[in-house]
Amino acid sequence: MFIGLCNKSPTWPTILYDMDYDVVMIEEKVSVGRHTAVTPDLVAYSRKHSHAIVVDCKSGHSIQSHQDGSYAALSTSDLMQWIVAKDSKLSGHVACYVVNRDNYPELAGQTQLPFIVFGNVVRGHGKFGHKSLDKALHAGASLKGMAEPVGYYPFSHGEDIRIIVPYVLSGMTALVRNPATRVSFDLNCPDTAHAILTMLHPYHSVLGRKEKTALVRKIRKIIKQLIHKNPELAEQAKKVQRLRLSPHAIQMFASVCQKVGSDYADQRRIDCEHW
Amino acid sequence: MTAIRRLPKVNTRREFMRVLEGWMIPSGDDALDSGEDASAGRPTDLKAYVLESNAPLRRRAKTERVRWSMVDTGVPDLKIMNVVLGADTPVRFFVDVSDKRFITIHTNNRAEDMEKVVSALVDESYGMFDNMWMYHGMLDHIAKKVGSAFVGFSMKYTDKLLARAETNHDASVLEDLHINISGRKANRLRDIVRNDRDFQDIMAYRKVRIMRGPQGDETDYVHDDIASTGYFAVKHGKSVQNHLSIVEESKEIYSRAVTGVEECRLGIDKAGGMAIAKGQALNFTLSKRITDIDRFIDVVFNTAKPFRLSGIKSVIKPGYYRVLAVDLHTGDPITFEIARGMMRVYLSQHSCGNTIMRLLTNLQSSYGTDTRCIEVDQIVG
Repeated sequence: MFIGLCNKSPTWPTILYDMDYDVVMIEEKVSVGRHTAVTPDLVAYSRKHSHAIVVDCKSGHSIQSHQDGSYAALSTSDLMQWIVAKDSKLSGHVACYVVNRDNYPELAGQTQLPFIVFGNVVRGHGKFGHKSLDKALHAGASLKGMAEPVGYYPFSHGEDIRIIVPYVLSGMTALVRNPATRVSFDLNCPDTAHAILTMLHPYHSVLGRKEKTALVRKIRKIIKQLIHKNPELAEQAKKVQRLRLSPHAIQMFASVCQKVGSDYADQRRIDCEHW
Repeated sequence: MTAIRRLPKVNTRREFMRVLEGWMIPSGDDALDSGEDASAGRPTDLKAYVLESNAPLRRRAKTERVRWSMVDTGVPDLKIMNVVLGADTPVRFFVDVSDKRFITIHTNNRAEDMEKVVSALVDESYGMFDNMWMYHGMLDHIAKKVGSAFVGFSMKYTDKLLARAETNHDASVLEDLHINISGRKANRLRDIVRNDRDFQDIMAYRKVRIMRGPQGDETDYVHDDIASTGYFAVKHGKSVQNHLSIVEESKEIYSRAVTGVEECRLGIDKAGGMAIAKGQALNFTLSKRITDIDRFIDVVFNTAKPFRLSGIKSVIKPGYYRVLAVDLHTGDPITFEIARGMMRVYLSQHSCGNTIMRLLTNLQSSYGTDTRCIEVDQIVG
C-alpha cells in the first residue's frame, strides 16, 4: 500500500509519486552511528526534494523502545552512503511508522516519530521534516471505495505461511513451464527455492542478505511440506519432463497447483501486512 | 493439407515483391471470411500473419505435434519456413525476420492449412511464438489511419464469462453474436450497433476490412482484412505496396503497445549508481461490474485458450481477490487483483507484454467491448 503511493496509478492515491519519491531500499540494514543498526522495511527517496522517508510497517500493537530509539538516532549521513548517487544529494530524512487505523491510537503514545495511517483515508500525523511533504500528508487522500494495491511487495520472511504458499505454488508452475531453468523438474532440489524467489520477488536483487537467506529457507521448507502432503506435485512435474513440455502435461501440473492452492484461498486480513 | 508447393526462388526484394504481386488474385467475393470454416474456400489470397517471437528463432525444431526448418533465400532476413504437422504434407511459406520480435509470414497457401500451422506454432513452440493480439480499439485506430477507408467488419461475441445460472434466468442476456459485413453499408451498420445500448458493449471487432490507395486501377489500391489475431488477407486490388504498408504500420502500432506495457514490469533499475524500484501496475476498467467473481476467475485462469493463464486465487477481503497467475505461453508469473469493476495487473521482471494484449483482446470479445487497459490506451492514443 505504501509502495502504491510512490507509483503512478489511476486507482490509488499518488501523494508520494507526485513528489517524485521512489522506493530505493527494501529490508536492508543501515548502521546508526557506530554501535547499532536498523532494518527499515522501505526507504523512499525524492531526488527533486533531496529528501528520504524511512519506513517501518507495524501490524502489531507495540513499538520496541530500542528500535524506536535507533530510528530516532538515525542521521541523514548514515543514510546518504546507501541511497545517493554521485549526481544527487540528500539534505534531510524522516523515519516514520506506517500503520493501520485500528492500531494507530495504541501505537501513537509509544513514540515521538510521525505516522502514516491507512484507513478510509491515508494521512500523515506528526512532522515529516519537509514542508511540502507535511502539507501533502497532513491533507491526506481518500481511500473510500478503493481496492488496496497489495501486489507490489509479494511477501517477507515474517509473513504467515498461508500467504506464501500460493506464491510458491505459482512459482512451481512457472518453473515447470519455463524450459530455460535447469531446476524445472526437480522441485525438491536446493536451487528451486532460490529460483522461485528470483522469479516472484521483483525486488529480490536489492533485498538485504539476511532477509534473502531467510526467505529462501522459508520457501524451501514450504516446498518440502507441499511435496510431502501432495506427492502428485512431484509426479506431475516429472511427467512434464517425460513428455517434453507437452502443453497438456503443463496444464495438468498447473491444475494440480490450483487444486492444492485452493486450500489457502481465504486470506482475508484486516491488519494489512502487505505494505 | 494440400500438396506441397515449391516457392519461387528470390534473390532481391524486388523479386520478392513481384512474387507477392503475382499471388494477389482478387476473388470478387464481397463478404468477409466469417471464420475458420469459411476461410477454407479462399485458397489463393495473399496473406500475412504476424507472430510475436519471444526467443531467438531456431532454424530447426521438433515438438510433439510439429516440426519445422528454415532456409535462407537470396534476400537478407527473408527465410523460407517448412512446417510439418504430424503426418501431414509440409507447408512452405516466406518469413520476414527483419524485425526479430515480430516476424511476418507471407503466403498464398490455403487459409485452412495456415490456420492449423499458425495454431500449432503458437501452441507447440515452447512459448517462442504467440499471435499478434489486436484488441477492438487498436483495430479501430488502424482503420481510421490517414489514407485508409473502413469498408467492412466482422464481429464475434461469445459470452463465456457470465454465470450460466444468470443467463438461464434472463432471456435478455445475449450469449452469442456473429456479424459479417463489407461494402458501402458497413459503416451504417457499425454506427447502428455502436449507438444501441444493448449492443455497444458486445461490439468487439474480430476483423476490419480497410481500403488503401485510390480506387480505380486495381494495381493502385488494396482491400485488406485485418483480424484481431494478427492475420492480414488481401480481398481486392493488386497494390502489394499498400498491403505491406498496412501490415508494417499495424506492426509498428502493436510493437509500441507491447514495449510500452513492458516498461511497466516491476523490478529494480540500477542505472546511475542507485537501485530504484521501477514499474507500475496496469489498470483495467471492466465494462460492467462482475456479478460472479469466482466464475470470472475460474474461466479466465482455467489454463486453456484463449487466455492461457493458470492462476491460484485468494480472497483479500470480500469482493476483492488476488490471483497469482502464470502465463502458460511464456512461463512468467503475473499477479492480478480483481474487484467487481476493476482489475490490476503486475508484470514480473521478464513478463511478455503480449500477455496483456491477449488478455485485453479476449476480454473485449467475451466479456465487454468497453473493457479497457488505461495504460495501453495511453500508449496507443
